[in-house]
Amino acid sequence: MGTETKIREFITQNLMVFEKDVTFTDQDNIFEMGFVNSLFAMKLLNYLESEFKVEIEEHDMDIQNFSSVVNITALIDKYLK
Amino acid sequence: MFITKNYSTITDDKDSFDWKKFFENETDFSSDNIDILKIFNELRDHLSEKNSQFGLVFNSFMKSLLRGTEFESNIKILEIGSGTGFLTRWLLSNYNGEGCLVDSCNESFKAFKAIQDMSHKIEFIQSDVFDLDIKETFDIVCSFGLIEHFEDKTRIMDAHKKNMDANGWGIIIVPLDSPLSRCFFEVHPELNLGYRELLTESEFRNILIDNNLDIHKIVSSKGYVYDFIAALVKKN
Repeated sequence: MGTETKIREFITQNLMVFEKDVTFTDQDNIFEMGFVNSLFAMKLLNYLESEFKVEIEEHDMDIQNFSSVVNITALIDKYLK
Repeated sequence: MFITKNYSTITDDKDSFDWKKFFENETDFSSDNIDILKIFNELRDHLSEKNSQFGLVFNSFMKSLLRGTEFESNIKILEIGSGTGFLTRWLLSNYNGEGCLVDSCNESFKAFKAIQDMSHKIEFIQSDVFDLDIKETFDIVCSFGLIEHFEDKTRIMDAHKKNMDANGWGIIIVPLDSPLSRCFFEVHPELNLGYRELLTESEFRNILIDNNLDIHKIVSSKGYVYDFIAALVKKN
């Protein structure tokens, strides 16, 4: 499974909304759409660091880097290079 | 990305900044047309709490605090004045164990119940921290944004130590007295509904030392709309 697919799957499984059929594109800002909260941000970071064996540095802790599947994938790819 | 206004047309030397020209050029900010409410609201907007950013900042902050510290497996955590227990949830996401939250606030209890997160074993005791009547001791006793609300530091620190295991740890987090924090609380009067101190690192250290706690580490946050500071302590 590729990085983007794994990230998308994690987000889908951890959405904090209660509607069953929530859809979002890989470009959608999941924070602005109100799907997730601070607990999610914390879980997402833990997931990324353990799944991809990276330690995300403080200067990258900008919400923009975590706002969409595309942006998160780009961030992880940067660490995996 | 936020880009600040460029006033290089006025001067490139801050010591010779022409304030008269600045006010003349700024039609929105001319001396007879200052919209205080607009400025206030823009400042509030810049310094509004963003849950997702908090999650990221808090994660780095806690990792920095606990780097190099080993905990027993299956740790028992007590969080007093817990609200919905964000600190406990962070700890349980990173270390196996179980949590006990204590808060007298009915709204916190309702919010705790509303969080659909069954991945952690957490109990909520609705009680005043000073009336807490449990005998068991905990590997970690913690609080986030609690002690600054009490003038009597001995009483609130005793509430932390009471159920802390002899070899246990304390994690205490408070807002840091910094220009940013002062500004944040200045423009958010709706958050100032009771007694709150902003503590410098030095004042924070003295409170811990005066209450017989050994300080193992102190870290400050970076990147949130106000600054906070945490101490990792043990009973001495």
